[in-house]
Amino acid sequence: MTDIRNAIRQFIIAEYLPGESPDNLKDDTPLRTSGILDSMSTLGLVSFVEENYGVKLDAHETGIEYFDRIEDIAALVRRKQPAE
Amino acid sequence: MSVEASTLTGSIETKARPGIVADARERHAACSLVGFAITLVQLAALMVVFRVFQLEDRRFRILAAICFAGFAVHYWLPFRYKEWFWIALSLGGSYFLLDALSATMVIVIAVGLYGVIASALPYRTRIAIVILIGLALGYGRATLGFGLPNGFWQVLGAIFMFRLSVYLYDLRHAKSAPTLREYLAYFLVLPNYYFLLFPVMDYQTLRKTYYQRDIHRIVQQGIDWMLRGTVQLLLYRAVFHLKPSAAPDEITSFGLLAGYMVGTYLLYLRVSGQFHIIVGLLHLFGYDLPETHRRYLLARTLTDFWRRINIYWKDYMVKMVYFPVYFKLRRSGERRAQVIATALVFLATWLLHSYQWFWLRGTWLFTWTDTLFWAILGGLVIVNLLMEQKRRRVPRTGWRAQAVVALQTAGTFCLIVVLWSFWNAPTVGTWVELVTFWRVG
Repeated sequence: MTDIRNAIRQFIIAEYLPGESPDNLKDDTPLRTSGILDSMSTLGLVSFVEENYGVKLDAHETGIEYFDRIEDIAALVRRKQPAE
Repeated sequence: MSVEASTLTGSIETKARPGIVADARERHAACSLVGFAITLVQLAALMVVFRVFQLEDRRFRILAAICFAGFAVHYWLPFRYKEWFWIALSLGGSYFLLDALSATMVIVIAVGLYGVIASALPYRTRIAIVILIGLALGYGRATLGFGLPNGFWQVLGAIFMFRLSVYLYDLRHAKSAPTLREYLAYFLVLPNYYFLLFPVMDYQTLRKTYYQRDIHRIVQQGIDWMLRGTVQLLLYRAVFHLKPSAAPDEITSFGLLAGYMVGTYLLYLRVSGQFHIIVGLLHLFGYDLPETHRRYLLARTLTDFWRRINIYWKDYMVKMVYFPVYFKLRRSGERRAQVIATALVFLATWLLHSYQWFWLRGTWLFTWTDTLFWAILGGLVIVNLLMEQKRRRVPRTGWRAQAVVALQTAGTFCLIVVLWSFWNAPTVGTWVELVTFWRVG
């Protein structure tokens, strides 16, 4: 779970917040409601998650409930991954 | 990272851990006499400004007085009673802002709709019944029927015309049945009885941000936004009085034309000012909603403008149109899906703008200037979007980079000002006459 969170954090920093310290992007920092991610960057993150974790997301799963914070996104990925 | 982003580090709140969520929220509602006193002083100062400058009208000041007095009680209540108190305040307050018949009918229709939505009927059946009710109410609005006043139809439209679709969308994917408390807190919101142009709040966002951080920080944010809204409403007043006339034969120089166009755009300060105040009022009651406008006059590109102005509308369109279309089409190509989804967002915005006009004014708005405005804006945003995708975001430093940003911002402002004046002209011919009169006479 921690790995997923860190990977998502690194991706967001590299793609959308270049130069920002990873320490400033916490697991519970709102991403969508704060404007860090807009619709296009949300889609970029969706592609990243799908390609790296072999999951397929639906449109409603990109809502605030599941896709506003790193911890929520990581939890969604864990739920959608096939049981090991 | 924005200040809001770095400070919004709320609690861990997922449906998987409702107990933890409730505890965190309760903790965030902890009272402090000093914090309360500081808030009350600021609210009193705001109230004085409202009165001294006669902001909006008397009904607005009644609304503010009810909300501020309500805050003073709400703040000290045990957490489990807080939202019910806000609902009761909204229901009771509606009788101070509307006539008794209108206030009662809004509540009756809201409860009736909840009865359908929360019933055990299949989802599609419930949607069909809600649509039928909507059509009947639409007939009533068009004919001013059922013996109900125009004001009632406006408020009913302002409450349900967009938020109902958000609620039904979220209901489809909800893990549990909607509660009456959450339903009433989403729809029957006290400021909505006064403000007919109301931000399209997202249901999930409203629920998720409820007491998501310490109440004093939420309230302070709300006061800051109310102050910003107040300043914008006062600026609006100045613009309204200083703006040159719209009569083409009075626009006799380029300076007057530029002044008219900029003034027409700046009249939007009224909407952004009202939206800041609305969201600020909701913050007083624990709803830590995001801001509705983010320095839209400083947009660097048209896409940036679309993301900064009326953010709630943009988010509504992304949720209801953009993402569903994109996810359906993405197998046939990412770029194609994005272009089609963006085009449909602007098509929907154009249609819904007219739909809003119907509920608030009783007639449909289909004019060439409105249609062309959304078509041009949509087309330019698509082009801008495709260009942005080719570029990678890199930090810009140095005076040259800053000069480029300044030029981009100025260019975008000029383009929007021209488009905005076109949008506000009654006909294409009127606008052409307006912009050419100073040269051709």
